[in-house]
Amino acid sequence: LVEPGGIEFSRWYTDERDRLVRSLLVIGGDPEGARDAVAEAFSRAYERWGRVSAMASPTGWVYRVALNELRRRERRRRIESRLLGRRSSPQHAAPPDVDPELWLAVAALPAREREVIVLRYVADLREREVGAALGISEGAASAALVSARRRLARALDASDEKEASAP
Amino acid sequence: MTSIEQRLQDLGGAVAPPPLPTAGAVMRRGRQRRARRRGAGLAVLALAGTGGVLAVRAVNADDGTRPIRTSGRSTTTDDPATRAVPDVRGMTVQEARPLIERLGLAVSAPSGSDLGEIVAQDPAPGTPLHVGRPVTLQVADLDRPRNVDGPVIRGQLLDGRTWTVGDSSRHGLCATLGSTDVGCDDIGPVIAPGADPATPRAAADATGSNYPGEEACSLVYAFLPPGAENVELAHDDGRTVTDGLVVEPTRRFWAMPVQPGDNPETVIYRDATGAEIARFPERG
Repeated sequence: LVEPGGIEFSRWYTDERDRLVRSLLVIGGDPEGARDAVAEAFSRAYERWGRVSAMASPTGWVYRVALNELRRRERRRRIESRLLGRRSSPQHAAPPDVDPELWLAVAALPAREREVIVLRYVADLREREVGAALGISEGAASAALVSARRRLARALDASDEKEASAP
Repeated sequence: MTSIEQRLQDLGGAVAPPPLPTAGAVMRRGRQRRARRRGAGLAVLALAGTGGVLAVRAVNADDGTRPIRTSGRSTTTDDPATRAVPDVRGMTVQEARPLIERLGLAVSAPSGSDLGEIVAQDPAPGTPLHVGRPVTLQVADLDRPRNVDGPVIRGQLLDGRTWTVGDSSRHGLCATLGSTDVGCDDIGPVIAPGADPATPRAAADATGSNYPGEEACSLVYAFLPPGAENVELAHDDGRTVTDGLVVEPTRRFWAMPVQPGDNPETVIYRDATGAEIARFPERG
């Protein structure tokens, strides 16, 4: 038995999930967290599919929910590790086949800049869509992008120089 | 395209996506969430509206002794083979269906009208109807945003008093708690700051903690009042909520998440130039 909207939902999910989970993985560095946040966001979307599918941008909605879910998990993880006396923020290793230098530079960006740059280039959203997914104006998204690119360029230049001057 | 932009795009392509559940599994989880939400009584924090930041509680939809709407009508009758028809006017068909079906009655509504707002019903609310008989629902134009010039919004205060907003065209109001949607008619404000010993914040936290199974109020929405072009959700300490704050073309705005203990205290409406035209609660 297929519910009304079921086929439409399943097509949408199949089209969007990989781009979203990749983005969350680069933002948070944690494959498990990214996967859980994506599954959670899409199941919430299906829970209220009548309403979500009628929105101007269901994809924008699901990005927003997934990002919030990712942040919520990160907050909880930080609290838990503090309570358990663990070191916070374990540095997630770069996945195989990924430029490790760039991975680290992205991980070192301030959270908002990291989100903006990943949504723009990994998720391939337009600046307007990036703003909508983060709940900020297009102008704010665009300013954060400029700043993030500048910071990345500096970080990557610095590590290039280090490499060049290494014996 | 600078080399950094190219490298970032390559980075995205090189990241192998972690294995995700199938669409069927996600839909199953969504259905389970929906079923849970229909069954549960809820506590809700919402904001905005005529009284300002609101702490609200929904009535219990599940036990049959308290109607989902606070109209005072009972959903039970003396004859075990009949049920009093619930008042579902103002709800969407999607929201009304489980309420009607849970009573053992059937729903008759135009196909594809799930999101439509119910403007009339037959039989009238409160009429005894034999189990299995249909309640016929008449649905408004789908394009009309809910509760803009819509029906009266009713709710219940945290202290039990009934709340009514006659002119719901100004401030429609809906909220979601964790995984649970709350229809506009089910929620009730209003703890006016200063008017109640419980501050909005304390009330919000209290309602959240009544239902440990729920996470937090994750979606709140309302409509912009006339003249307003934008809205700002602010904390008393000056922080503003930017995460997920969206104003839709229907003039509905919504924000998520609003976590317990992280509820903005003030709603500020601004005109196109950014000037403040109203705030709730008003400055004392």
